[in-house]
Amino acid sequence: MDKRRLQKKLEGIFGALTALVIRFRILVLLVLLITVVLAISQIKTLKIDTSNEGFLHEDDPILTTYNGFRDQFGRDDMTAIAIHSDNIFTVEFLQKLQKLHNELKENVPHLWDITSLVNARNTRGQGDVLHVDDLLVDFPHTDKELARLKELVMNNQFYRNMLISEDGKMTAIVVESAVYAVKGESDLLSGFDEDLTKSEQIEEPEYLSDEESTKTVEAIKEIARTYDSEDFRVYVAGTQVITQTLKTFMMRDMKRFMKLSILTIGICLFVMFRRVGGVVLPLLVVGLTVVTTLGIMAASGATFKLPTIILPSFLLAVGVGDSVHVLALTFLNMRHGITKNKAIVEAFSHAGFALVMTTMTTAAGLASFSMAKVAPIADLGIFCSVGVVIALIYTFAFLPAALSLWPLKVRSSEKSSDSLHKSNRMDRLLAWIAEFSIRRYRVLLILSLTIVAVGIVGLTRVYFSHNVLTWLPEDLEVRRSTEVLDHELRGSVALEMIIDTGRENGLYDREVLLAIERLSKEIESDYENKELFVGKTISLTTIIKEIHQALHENRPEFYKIPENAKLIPQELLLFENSGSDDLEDMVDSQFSKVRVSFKVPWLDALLYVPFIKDVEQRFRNEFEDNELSGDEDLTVTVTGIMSLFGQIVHATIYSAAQSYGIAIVIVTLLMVLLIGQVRLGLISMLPNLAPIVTVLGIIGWCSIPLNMFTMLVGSIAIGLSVDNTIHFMSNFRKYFAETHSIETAVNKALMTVGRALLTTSVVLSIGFFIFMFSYMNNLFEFGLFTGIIIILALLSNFFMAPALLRLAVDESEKS
Amino acid sequence: MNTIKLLQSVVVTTALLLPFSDVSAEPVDGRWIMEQVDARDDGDNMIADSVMILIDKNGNERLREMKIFSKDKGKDTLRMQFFHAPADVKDTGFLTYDYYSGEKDDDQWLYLPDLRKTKRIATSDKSSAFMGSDFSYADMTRRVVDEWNYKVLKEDEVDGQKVWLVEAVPVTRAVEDRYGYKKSILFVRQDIFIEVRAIHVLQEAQKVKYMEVKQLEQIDGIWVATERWIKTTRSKRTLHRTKLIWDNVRLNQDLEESFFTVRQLEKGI
Repeated sequence: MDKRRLQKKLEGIFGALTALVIRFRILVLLVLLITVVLAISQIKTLKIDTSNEGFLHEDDPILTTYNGFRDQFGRDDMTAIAIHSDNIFTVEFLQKLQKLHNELKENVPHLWDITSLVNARNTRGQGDVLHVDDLLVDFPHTDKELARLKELVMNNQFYRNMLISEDGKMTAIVVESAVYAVKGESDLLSGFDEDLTKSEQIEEPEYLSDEESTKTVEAIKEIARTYDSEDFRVYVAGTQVITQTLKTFMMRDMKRFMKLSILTIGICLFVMFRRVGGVVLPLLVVGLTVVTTLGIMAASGATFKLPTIILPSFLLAVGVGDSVHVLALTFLNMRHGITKNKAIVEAFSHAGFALVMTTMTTAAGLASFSMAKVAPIADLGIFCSVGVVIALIYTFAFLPAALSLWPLKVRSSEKSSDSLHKSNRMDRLLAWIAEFSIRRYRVLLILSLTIVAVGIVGLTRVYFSHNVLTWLPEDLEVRRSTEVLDHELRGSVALEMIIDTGRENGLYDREVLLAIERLSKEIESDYENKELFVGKTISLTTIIKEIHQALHENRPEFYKIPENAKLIPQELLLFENSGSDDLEDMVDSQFSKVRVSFKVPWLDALLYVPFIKDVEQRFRNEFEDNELSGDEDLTVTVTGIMSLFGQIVHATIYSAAQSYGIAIVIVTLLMVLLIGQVRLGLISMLPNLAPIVTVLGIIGWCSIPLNMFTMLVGSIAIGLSVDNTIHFMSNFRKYFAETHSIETAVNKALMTVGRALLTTSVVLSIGFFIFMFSYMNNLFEFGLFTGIIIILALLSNFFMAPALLRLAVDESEKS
Repeated sequence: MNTIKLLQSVVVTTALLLPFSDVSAEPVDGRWIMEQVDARDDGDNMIADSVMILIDKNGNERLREMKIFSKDKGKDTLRMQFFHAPADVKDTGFLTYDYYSGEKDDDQWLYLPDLRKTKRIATSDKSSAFMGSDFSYADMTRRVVDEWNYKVLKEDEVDGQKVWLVEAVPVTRAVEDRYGYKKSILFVRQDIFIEVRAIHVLQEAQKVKYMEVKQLEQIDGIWVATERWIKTTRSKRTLHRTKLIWDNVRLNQDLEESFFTVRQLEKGI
């Protein structure tokens, strides 16, 4: 009976520990107070980031490439202020547009560049004169001038689908924010350096933070709103706008969740204990847990990102379980006439080990995310597991100390027949469950098997998605604006191809330019009329064609790469001298690297993946494999916001598979270890896996795509639902060893822990169902599915677990 | 030495010495300083070999070599430039008429050898980049003294020489737009009235340009800045730099006005 001795020994340790806490309770509370104050002081430094870059780890190669691209060419996630009007080419409209343009230019923080019809590059030839001007530098007034302007704009290849829609009824102001953050007001006079050739000792540049870009977007929206009118319909869209909207929703949701969680958990606690202490103390434990976890998060430099929103309410719901078990036992002991402090010590010595084990399984389920390629999911895994461990520590330290100070009395009503009657009803239900599940074990198992089988078929239909826009409510302005922009200006997201010729002036090579031109046209036409179409392609060739045409009296037949290759560098030199800095956005100063931008509509990132592959392959075939013009150093790189989306989808799928694998293996191992028997350990996993398979199956059958949030449900749920099994199995084994009767053991086990299981499961599922009150669709689904799994797991532990035991355990065998 | 001259020199000396005295009596007038700068003989009828090194934010360099001819026509400047290097733009030529008066747009002609055509480039402002460098056309010519309000900020030393730091702010918004500068701080050497450093705050958000004279030579008795470095920064980060070096500077050459014509541009040198 080694095991029993071990159990006694463990109980002794937990009891002694609790007695020690009670003895030094003031000191313990003081230490906890200091810890919490420290944590609170850290929380202020917690940063929020809802950007697309934030989904990936800082060292993700895709992100590194993207940052390199931004360093060289600037940002590709522009904000577009699109304006719809039937009268764009009128003096009134253009004046208003100009006013808006200037107001944005002067008032939007962190603005890097702003382009609209007001200052659009206008390169044109007029006889022997070459004009390189801002489009509206000579503001039109007469009808004739307006008509000429319209003709010029509508025929300009560069403006089409960027600054003007094909029907001439929508124009856009495109705002590019800065890549780097501004570091304070610089002292003007300190800008000289002694030697210009030496690299300056400036600090590592910091990218514009999510917070700073929020300020940009807010200012844009604020200004744009005041211009919105009947014949000047303003739509603000772009990746940064979406990011900022998500953040607003996240903050609103979080406050909502916290309030609802505390309220519902409070109500559950009151229903169960009907005592102020029974409500306040557990809430304090979990409240302090959340504060401390957020403090640790802030101190470790982690940022609060979209998926992290789950963390506070998750910890509230999960952490409260520990206190519930301890309090239930304490009150039970007190009803049996044991004095308060002794009742507390006995409660901990009885439940301590189970609490540690259940915390470990929960933490293991969550920790399975810690290696996720999606950065915030990894953070969520790490800090949620840290959080549940903190909840356990607070339960062990804070609860006994506070409980022993809290005035607790055994109320006479608790001994009344009313409450006995109630508990009898509950006991009768539990007894019936025990009996039913053993008697009808075949029916139950066949039913379970059928459900699981249907679930498994559904599993094969599960697919992934990443489209943050669909997380937002359908009638939201930014969703509509994005749709309008995608429709009228043919796209709002860019894929960027970088061709590096590996040598200075490599782009003077006419063959390279022609190849870019040919590929762009091919890709545009191959994706025409598809859901994913290419609305516009911009590259260095756009400028060369433009200037070549301007040098030939604007004749349309000269809108092409010059026949005479020698003209290319000369025309580019001319362009550089014309005062335009537009080349910087397209090519490096050495003319060795060029960017080709494909504008596409905002779609599910899953659709981007094959497109990215296809475009990349075409460029590789053309440039790398063909060894065009004998250039072996030529490389092709794919990047841009769209490639980030692609990588996020890839990372989501990979992380999901990885975390499910890890969670199942670790939790199963823990179960086997805990039960001390491989077969029983494996069997006890079945009631916990079945609900997950079932719910994922439903998701598959309903054709609901798994996203970054709903992919979490399985790994989170498995760590939680096995807690039920642990409590149930440890009791079952104890009673089975005593009685050698499965039915009696199941009955006794359910009578002992059944109520606590019911309460914790109800609290947990409510904790997740609360997410259904989210303004965001993805959180709604996450809450719904996890909540259902928790309820199903309770049912399967009540019905399926005993039935399985009936099938698998031989009554004659000694446990 | 007659009394008037004596008086004059006393006045000038006093003006020069005033800032050094602890008693802050009449400070030196900024406008007066800039008038001295404007009045200084900066040479005429110049021929020089110009080397321009363009350095991008990653430290990559591009070299441009040009032959420069320039002539003053009243307060206007005529300038002819031919590219020598790099080879692929060799013989490309620029002819510019920089008008002192801000009212008139500069004229610029360009000759592309492989197009065999001259085009006039209509430029609307002086703020655009000079030959793709960090210098603007305005930086390459003389400023109209009346278009700016001046204030002496302080005195300092640059390379051991005493300078005034003069702040210049455009008189009107139109001037500001034309130059693209919200303000400039000019470092004027007190002994020879030459700007040896300049800070230009651009209209464009957070952009500031820093110019330094790295080499000052006296040629035929006239001070010429033969090496100038300039960098464009934004929020302290350097976006681009240019080193402009003049070699073989010859002043008072026999340059006729008839040399600065489109005909000559197409003919080359």
